[in-house]
Order: sequence, then structure tokens, then C-alpha cells
Amino acid sequence: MTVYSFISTILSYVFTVIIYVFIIFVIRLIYLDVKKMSRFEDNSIADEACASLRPVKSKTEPRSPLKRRYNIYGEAVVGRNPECDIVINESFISQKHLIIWYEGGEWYLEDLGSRNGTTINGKRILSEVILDPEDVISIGGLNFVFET
Amino acid sequence: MGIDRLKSASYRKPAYLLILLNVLGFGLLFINKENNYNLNILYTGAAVLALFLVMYTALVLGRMGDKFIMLMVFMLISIGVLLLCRINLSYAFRQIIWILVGGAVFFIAYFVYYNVKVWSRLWYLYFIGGTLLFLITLVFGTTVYGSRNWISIGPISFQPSEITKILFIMCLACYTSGSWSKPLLGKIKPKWTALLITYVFVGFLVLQRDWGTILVMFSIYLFMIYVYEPDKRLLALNICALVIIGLLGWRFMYHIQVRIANWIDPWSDISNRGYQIAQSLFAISSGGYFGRGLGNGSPYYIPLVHSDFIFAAICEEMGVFGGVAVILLFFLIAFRCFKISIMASDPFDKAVSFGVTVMFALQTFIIIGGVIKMIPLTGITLPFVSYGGTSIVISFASMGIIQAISAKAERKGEPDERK
Repeated sequence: MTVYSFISTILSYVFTVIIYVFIIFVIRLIYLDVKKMSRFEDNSIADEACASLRPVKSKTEPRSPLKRRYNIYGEAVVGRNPECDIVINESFISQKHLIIWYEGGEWYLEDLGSRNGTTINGKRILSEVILDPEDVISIGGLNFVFET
Repeated sequence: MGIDRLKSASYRKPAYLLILLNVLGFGLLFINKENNYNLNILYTGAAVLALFLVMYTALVLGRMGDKFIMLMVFMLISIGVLLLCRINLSYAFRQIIWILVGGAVFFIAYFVYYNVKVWSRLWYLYFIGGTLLFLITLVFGTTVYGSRNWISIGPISFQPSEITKILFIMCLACYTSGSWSKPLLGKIKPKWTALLITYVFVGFLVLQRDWGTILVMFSIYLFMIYVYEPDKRLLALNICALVIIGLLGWRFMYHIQVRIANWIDPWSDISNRGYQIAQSLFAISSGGYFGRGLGNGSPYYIPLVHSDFIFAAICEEMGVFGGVAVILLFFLIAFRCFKISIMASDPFDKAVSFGVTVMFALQTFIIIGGVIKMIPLTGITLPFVSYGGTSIVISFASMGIIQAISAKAERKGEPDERK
């Protein structure tokens, strides 16, 4: 047995280990990716507990472009913080600005103590309120239509 | 910022492993005395690594869609080039040139597919293009191993049927996505036109005696109508037609009879017709679980070991575990491509990525199944692993298309989407 074939035999085990660890890493990444995907498309939530916020024309121009529609599954926190379900990165929006949730057939909205407040159809809200479809929610100068 | 860093770190880990495998593998081949310490081995390895780093960085930083497919593809390419280097250095050298061309074609295919929006309306162009390629092959083609499917222009020779496969998939995607709804000549429904196109292409391939490609193309058609056609009678009809064509071929074609006979019993004519498959089985069995080690095996006994039978060489030198890893990588690639197909919003994109995925999966199944004597052997290449210029370039081009589709899905809803 030459030195080369000895090294080669040893390395054949090393190669197998490397390839399988590589595959495990990739599977883990794919798993994380699929989990992220299923967080946004949750089939366990009934259809009536799904709603959306649609940006409409507002006086202030958004600093960063908005999506055409923000979906809400069951409940959603809106704010500037990346941990929010709906992240809107505007200077007049607080870190955690408001929460929208579904309970017993009604949609509720509550301001989470934001600095600049929340108005619905032009009225500043002080406590939790029931949302109706087509209500216009204004936060930090941006308007959104609530759609179910 | 913290989240970003974490994410990019986890993307780097598999890349490091890939680099480690390449360094160890090519280093090992370099110190092999049989190769006379040829520096070309190191250059080949460096070229693979450089292309990987460039493409992967471009993909991650440029946000060009899915990141995992490219990782797995380069794992397959590394394994393939390592084995080729070990089998025949000049093949490996030519292969690396084709891989570099493929890398360029990948980006071209990506940008062209991403930016052109009229793909779904050009079904007649795909048909005409495919037919022209077939006619050129029939007139100017050269016969290699019983199939008239090669064209040589100067030093370069290529297989037009590989390009036709992509054209065929795009043609079928026009039909299944519903963007081609006008009847031909005012009478023939697209359903029947698509059927006709399939049979015309298969007819040309019969004239070329390229059985492997017939199997791939016809199966792509069957999968497409299985998924898209609500009328299952069409599928049943086509399966019947396939069985009849198969039986007729078996009855009248000597070529096919030999293949079937070798599949059932390669041992009775081991010195002649069963030689290739028998040697392949010997090689696989001598590898054991972990293989004999790179450079320790004797793959030269298998004819065509560099292209169709490279899987046998992988099994011999990297073991059954190495072979299973290759199959697993193909599984994962197919899984990712199916996910991209599911996430795509445009029906044409969906159909194209589905077709390309089915093509990869079928090719892998047919050739690996043939090498391990599970199904009758038909000569096609193992995508990304086998030696073969056209195969590599076309595989890269179809990967570029898939990447473009996944990038579209990823950037959807972002207004800064490139126009």
C-alpha cells in the first residue's frame, strides 16, 4: 500500500462526511426558508380572519416605497421595528405603532401608545375600536384602507 | 444589521464546506504520482472555485432569487470535475472551459429571461426553431454510438437535441399556461396542436435514433398534461401510444432489443454486449460504503465512463454514500425548483419551471437507473456531472431561467423591481 492510496482511503471518509454535512446545512437553510414562507401563508387560519391594508394616496410621500397590499392573518402589529408583522419604515411611525386583531367575528384596532397617534376616518382614536371594512387608517401621515 | 449578518453567515457555511472539498480533492489528485504532479489539476480546481465564488456572490448580493440551487449545482460540478480529472485530464480541462462558458450563459439566460416579457406568445417560433435544429442535424449530423445527433462545426461539436428540449418545454408552457388559446387555422385546438408538435419532434428523434431524448421529451409531455389537462382521457391515450411505440420499437429495432436483453441479463454476453453494464456493476460493488478513495479505483474498465457512466465511477471511488449523496443533491434541486414553480405568479413561468424540473429529474432518473441496471440503459448525460459541452451549457441556461423565475417571485410587490 503506497502512501498515496493510504491518504486517499482516509480522505474518502472525510469526503463523505463533508458532503453529508454540506447536505445537512443546505436542508437546514431550506427548512428555515420554507418556515418563513409558511408564516406568511398560514392555512390554519380561517378565511374570515384574513384581512389586508391597502395604501392609498396620502399627503406625505412615503420615504421608502410601500407594497401594494399588506396581508393580516389573525393579528398583526404595525410599526417601524423589523420584528413587527407589517414593517413600515417611516420616521413618523413608532417602533410598535398599533395592533389589529380578529376576535369573535369582529376586527379590532388598538394604538400601542404611539407618539403621533392613529386616526380612523379622520378621528383620533384613544382606546380600542372595532374596524369596519373600507375604514381609512392614518398613521404618520400615511393612509391605508382596511379591507376584509 | 444583526439579522443580516446572521443570515449571511449561515449562507457562508455550506460554501466553506464546498471550498474545503475542492481544496482537499484537487490537492489529493495533485500528489498522485500517476499524474506526474501536473499543475493543470490545481488550475482546474482553482477555476471551479473561482467561478463558484463569483456566481454565488453575485447571486447573494444581487438578490437574484434562490441561493441554494447554485450551491448544490456547484457541489455536483465539483464532484464531476474531480472524477473527470482523475479519469482523464484532457477531458477535465475541456469540461472546465465548458463550465466557464456555462457560467456566462447562465447570466445571459437570467437577464434575457428576466427582462423579455413576450415569451408566452412565441410558441410557433419555438416550434420552428426546434424543427430547424432537427433538419440541420438530419442533413449535417454525424453519427456517434448509433445516434445521428451531433453537429460538428470546426473543432466544436454539439447536440442540437439538448437545445430542442428547452424549446419544447417553452412551447408546451405556452399551451398549458393558456396564453396560446387561438385555434390553429381556425379549427385545430391548441390541445391537439401541442400533441401534434410532440409527435413531430418524437418522429424526428426516431429518425435520429436518439432514444434517451425521446424518453425525456415524451415524459415531459406526459407530466405536463397530467398536471394541466383536466381531461384524463388524453393522458391515457398518450400512455397507450407510448406503450405501442415502445412495443413496436422492441419488435423491429435491433438497437432496442440489445438494450432490453442487456438489461435483463448482462452476464450471458459479458465479453461483448453486456460488457459495459457488467463493468459498471463491478465498479459499484467494489466501491463499498465509503469507496476505494479518489485515484485508487480502476474506472478505465468501463467504456464511456467520463460521460454516461460517471455515476459508476463516483460509486467506485466515493462509495455508495457518495452516490446516494449525488442522488440526494438532485432530489433537493428538484424540490427547490418545484417550490419556485409553486411560488411563481405568472402561469407561463410556472409551467416553464415545472417543465425544466421534470427534465432534470427525468434525466437523472433515466441515466442513474440505467447505470445501476434498474431500467434499460439509454445514453443521456447526468446533468452538471457528466462530461459534455452542450449538456453543461444547456443545464446552466435552464438554471438561469429558473433563477430568473425565482427572482421575479422574490422581488414581487417591491416597487424597486427592475423594469
